[in-house]
Amino acid sequence: MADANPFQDPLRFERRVPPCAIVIFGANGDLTKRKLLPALYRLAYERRIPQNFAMVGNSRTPMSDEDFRQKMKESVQKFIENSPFDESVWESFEQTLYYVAGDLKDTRCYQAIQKKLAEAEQQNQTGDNVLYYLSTQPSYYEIVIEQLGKHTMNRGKGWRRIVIEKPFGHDLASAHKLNQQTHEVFPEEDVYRIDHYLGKETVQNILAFRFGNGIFEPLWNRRYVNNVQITAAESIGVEGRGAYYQEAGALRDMIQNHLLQVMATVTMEPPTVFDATNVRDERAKLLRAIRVMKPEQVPLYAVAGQYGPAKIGGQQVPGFRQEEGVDPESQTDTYAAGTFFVDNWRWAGVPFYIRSGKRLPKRVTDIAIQFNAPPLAMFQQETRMGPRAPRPNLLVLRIQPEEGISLRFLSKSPGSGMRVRPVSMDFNYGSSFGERSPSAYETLLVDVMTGDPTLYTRQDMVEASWKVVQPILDVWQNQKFNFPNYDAGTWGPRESDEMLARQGHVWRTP
Amino acid sequence: MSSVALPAQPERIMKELARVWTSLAEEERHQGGPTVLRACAMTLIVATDDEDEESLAASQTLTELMHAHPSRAIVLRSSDRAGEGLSAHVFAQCWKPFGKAQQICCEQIEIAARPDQWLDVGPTVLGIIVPDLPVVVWCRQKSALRSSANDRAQVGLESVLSLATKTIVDTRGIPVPEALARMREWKQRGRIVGDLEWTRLTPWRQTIAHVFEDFDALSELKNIRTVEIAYTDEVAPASALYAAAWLENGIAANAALRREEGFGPGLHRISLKSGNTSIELERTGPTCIRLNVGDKEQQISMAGSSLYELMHEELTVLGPDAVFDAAFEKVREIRS
Repeated sequence: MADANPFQDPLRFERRVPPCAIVIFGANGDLTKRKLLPALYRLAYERRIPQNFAMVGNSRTPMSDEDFRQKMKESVQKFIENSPFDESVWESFEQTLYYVAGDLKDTRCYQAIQKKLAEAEQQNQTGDNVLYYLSTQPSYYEIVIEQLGKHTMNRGKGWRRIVIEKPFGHDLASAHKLNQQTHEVFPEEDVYRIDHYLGKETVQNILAFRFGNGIFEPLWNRRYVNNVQITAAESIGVEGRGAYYQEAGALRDMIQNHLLQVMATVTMEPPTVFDATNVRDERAKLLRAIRVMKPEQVPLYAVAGQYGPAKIGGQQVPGFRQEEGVDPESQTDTYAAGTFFVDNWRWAGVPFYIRSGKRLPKRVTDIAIQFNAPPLAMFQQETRMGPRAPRPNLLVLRIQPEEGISLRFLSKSPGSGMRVRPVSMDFNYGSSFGERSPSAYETLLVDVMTGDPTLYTRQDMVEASWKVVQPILDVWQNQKFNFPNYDAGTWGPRESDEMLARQGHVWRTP
Repeated sequence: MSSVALPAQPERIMKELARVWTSLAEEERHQGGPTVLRACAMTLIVATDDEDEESLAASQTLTELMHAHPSRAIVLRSSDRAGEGLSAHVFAQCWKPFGKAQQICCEQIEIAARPDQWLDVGPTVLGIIVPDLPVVVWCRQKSALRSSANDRAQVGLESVLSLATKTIVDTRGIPVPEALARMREWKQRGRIVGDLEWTRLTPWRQTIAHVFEDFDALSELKNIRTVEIAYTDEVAPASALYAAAWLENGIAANAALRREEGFGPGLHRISLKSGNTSIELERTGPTCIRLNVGDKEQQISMAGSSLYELMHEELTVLGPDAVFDAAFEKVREIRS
């Protein structure tokens, strides 16, 4: 075994990228320009990219290395957030960027990439470690993986890893098939399915909050928790992604992946050790414990919605069917909500309400854990409708935009008499740690390059979450909805409120 | 928001703080906004001299630090112009994060004291630190690092330092032997001490550590025979001594220190040479270092060297710092 580096100082130095090359398929696409390159540049700015690094971009557009570098520079300058652009750092960094034009179906494209990788290895000594990043349209995933195998680009002296962006299939069968095809070329431990929600600092903070503190975990179960509401709302519409979104819908685009993963993070059992295998095992176990609906239960426990045109702030906004590239008769869900149950000892009987939608009143993602009311209602709360039993305690984990945690509890109002009112105790992530948080992609890129899959999704997790949503998809596919059923700028269709009312609950207003 | 001068008695100060919070909340409620958010993660005590430039730098940095390290800030100003008896001013430092409606506020208490009044400062501070949270003293008084200090002011300051979870000093511009001797005294009493001269080395150290993460470079480590450290100051600054000590802790070679013309102040160049390769870092601008490993060159950002950034880094390391402690111990060997 080699000696350890005597100059490491983990207390002060951030983890850095090891010598390696990244091949980005779809390097002329939005994800590369908006997220991946700004994240890589930021890592370079923070001195976390070594000299022994290279990035090879690929797309169909013919471009020289120089043209590609210029294009990426413009993207970084435009899309980098909360970070200065340093010309001298860029000049060094851009020397590590290379480009290969080629059609992904053409074997010559892979030969050219191999040649470029060899050139980069020669110039940059990347240790023959290669990360392939699939940032293409999902329909190309299988083609690229197969070609990488055919050209033996999945093997070498160093490591080979592959990052796959969501969607991981469009249903359970296709997800299973994609996994099988991927495994013919890459073993599971080299496959990194990225769900950028799990890379968000505040999602990771849920684990710190739950397992780093002793006071919450004893309450974290069916004895004390009444219901949990997970909301991911967007105020914008499909913003030019109508054609893509029409094929996906809110259930596939948000709930199947991001929100079920968030739910698993909130509800999983404590891992025995905080490492990739144990954390992912617990997440997977939880996903497998979510009750799968029977077809006849779907109308009771799931609601689809689609926004119609409305005036917001004096401005007319189009309905989904009026968006560019969208079928005027589209049956796509721009809103989806579901009631889920976890069949294990900790959570049996507690409803988990999940909703996600476009053109809702505000952009917000949060998790609200509502606790049971005290067994005896001793105090009354004054409301506009007269005295009422006070609202129970509520713990809200805010993912975005104002990341933080707040706990609502009752307090005596000043003055004579025993009147109570709810007050909120807030922890604001931004104000307690006002420093810049790394973007989810910075975190996840360093993780994959250092070989840490903790925040990546495993095959069994993907398939377990597809199993949960598949019955809903099947029923919805054979149903004709009377869309649109909610106005843009509202909190979704009436049926969604009715779904909660059947359990004696109401949606909170985030 | 500011208040009139108060007698610096803990009860009076705490009462005034409560009044400030109530009036802030009322103001917000009156305007129909959400109530202010009080943020506090530590008590940050700044002991400073009453010089205009010094005072301004400390205040500006403190304001910036509040965003990342919300604190109850206690500014202790040593001033010959202070009046009879200790007096205090109580403020709330508020800001609205971009695009947010809610104000976030921290507390600031300023106490001015003549050198002969410093014995009274300790008991006041003891009564106003935030319970159950770390106490950090940022000691900007140059005299604190001089060994002559046995007067009343020093004894008073000592009583404040004894409350600290961590004391942060800056030995730049102070005679190094005296400053290090003083720090050693504190460390021997079991205190955690940080020096911004060490913090200034982070970009240099991080870059060297990265170079040696490469397997080939790491295997070459044992062959390094020449270590040179160049600085631009008249005499070797503490940062150069720390760098030499840190390198000697990892390499079986003695570091040679020398003065050179170039970007400064402080460290200008670090060179490591073996028979086969050379690694050189040279400061090429106020915010840039050039790294050469053999014939490969890379520009490295020196971001992280403003006073705010240095303090920000130190405040994220509140516990023992084994790497700094090892280098600090080694400096004694180098100097002797």
